[in-house]
Order: sequence, then C-alpha cells, then structure tokens
Amino acid sequence: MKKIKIIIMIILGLCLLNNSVLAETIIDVNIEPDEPEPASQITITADISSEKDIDKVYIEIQECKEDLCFQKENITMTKVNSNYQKNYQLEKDESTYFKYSIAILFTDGSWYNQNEKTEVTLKPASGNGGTNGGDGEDKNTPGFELILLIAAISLIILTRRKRLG
Amino acid sequence: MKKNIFTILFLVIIFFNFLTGCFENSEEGDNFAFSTLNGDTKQLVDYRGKIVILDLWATWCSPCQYQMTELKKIYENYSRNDLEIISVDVDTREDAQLIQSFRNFFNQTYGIELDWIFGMDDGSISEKYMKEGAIPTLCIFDKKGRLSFREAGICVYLEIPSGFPANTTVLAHIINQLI
Repeated sequence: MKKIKIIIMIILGLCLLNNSVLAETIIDVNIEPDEPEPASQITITADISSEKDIDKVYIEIQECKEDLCFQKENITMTKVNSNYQKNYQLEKDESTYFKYSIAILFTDGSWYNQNEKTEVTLKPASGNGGTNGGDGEDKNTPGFELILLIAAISLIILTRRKRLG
Repeated sequence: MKKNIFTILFLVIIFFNFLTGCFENSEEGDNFAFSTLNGDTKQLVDYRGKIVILDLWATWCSPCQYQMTELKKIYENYSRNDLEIISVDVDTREDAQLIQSFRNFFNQTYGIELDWIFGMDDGSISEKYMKEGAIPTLCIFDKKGRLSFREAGICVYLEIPSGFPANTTVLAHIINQLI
C-alpha cells in the first residue's frame, strides 16, 4: 500500500513538473486600424504573458495579393509599458492581405514561434475623389456647416429686427 | 613573303576567335547551388540536358501552394529525361524538417504528392532570380542551362482556371518550345 502511494506521488510530481516545463505563452495581438488599407501605416501591439523573461519580440510580416506574396520582413518590436509595439508601413499598393506571426526570444536563449500565421484582409484603398462622409472622424457631412451658418445668420437677423421693433 | 605571313596570322586569329566563340556558346548557361532536404548540395549544372523549372517559394506563401498544384501537372506530363522541377525555399529561416512537414500536409490535405526535387536557398538564389521580391517566382532554364523564362506570380500549366486573369501565363507553350 505504501509503495502504491509513493508511485502515485511520483506520477503526480512528474505531471506537475511537466506542466511547469510547458509554461504557456499567451499572445494577444491588436492591429490599428482594424481594417488597414494597402500602403498605409499600421500599429501592431502585442500583449504577451509568459512565465519566462522576454528578451526580444519579433514580428514577421508578409504582404500578399491573390497570385503572389512579397518577401517577408522580420521586425523587432519595442517594449511600450507592458506591451510590445511597432508602427509598420505597409509597402505595396497592390497587396490585398498580409500575414503576421510573432517570435519571442527569452532571456534563457529559448525561442517561442507562433506556428499559425494570422491573416489580415486589407480594405481596398478609396479613390478619395470626393468625400461622402461617414467613416472618418475628420470627415463631416458636406453642407452641414452651411446649414449651421444659415441658421446663425437667421438668428442674428431675427434678434436685430426684434430689437429695432 | 611578308604578305603571306600576315594573311596566315590573320586567318589564325579569325579561326581562334571562331573556336573560342563556339566553346563559350556551348558552356553558356547559368548555375546555382542549393541544399537538398537530406543535406546534399546540388547544382543546376547537374541537370544539363534537361529543362529545369526553378520554383522559388516558402511554406507561408498561399499562392505558392496553388502554384505547386500546377507544377504537379507539369511533372506528371513530361518525362524525367526532358524536365526536372526544383522547388527552392527562399526563406532562410525555414529548415528541411519544416519543408518535409509541409509536403506531408500537402499530401494529406490535397492528396497531391510533391515528389520532385525540394531544396533550400542560402540567399544567393533569391538574390539572383527572384523577380520584384515576390514569390512564387518561376524560372525556366533550357537544356543548356540558359534562363529562358522568369515570372513572378501564379503561372498555369495548360488551362487558365475560371476566376484567373485572362493574361495568366500558360507554361505548356514555353516548355514545349524548349523541348
């Protein structure tokens, strides 16, 4: 009976050891803007939680279109507060999507590589021939200012008339 | 007498130039070296006498995967005495094990065995042959190793599938001309 207990303890110990060796690394990546356009600048922020100490974080980016991909770039991310960040300029006008993956170099010299690459679809660049408003903070409805101006002038005329009257 | 010597010298020079010209032409042709998946080093010159399609690719490149389905058609339609395909992974961070896993994945997922020559680049092949920094890039070398065709983007074997641009390059004509 004692032997069985010892064996169970050893097995449990080994299981715990195994779990601690396979320390999980969780990466949460955020890309701004959500729907980037080709040849635009994006900000990539990686929130990384790992039991190991991180030395460097790299991001690999490949821009592609339907029938080809452009050679990938391996970029070092900068530590900003508790996250890793990079402002990256997408290069190709003709790209329709890009793929990225994160690689982490730990202080003990070991690596973590994301095997699965995440694909981000690029929003077709607007011709910008005219602003129809709606999707940008700076883009107000055309003519809206004119309505405000007319209302203000009418108000001034009305108050003046009342004063004169 | 002097005239004769000059004439003979002139003829000798012309004949020598002609010979060297012929010799250069026969030796003309590109060469590059790559590592195979089992660690051997192979060169383009090893395949002289055959048309060689050099396919520059990487495992992360989705269009390269489609290109391989077209390469498979070519590989099956031509004799090994006439044509060889060499797919060289241009991403120097990808190793033989990853490429082999990719081949296994391709076989399991699409039922297509990628059974031609696969290799890895040390950076020199992509520098020399990659077009516009894009993959897939296909290069076709004639039987003497001369670069006859180079294009970035998907090329098809014989028929342009629906949804592809009408100007998609069809390789069959190019290969048949070289054979």
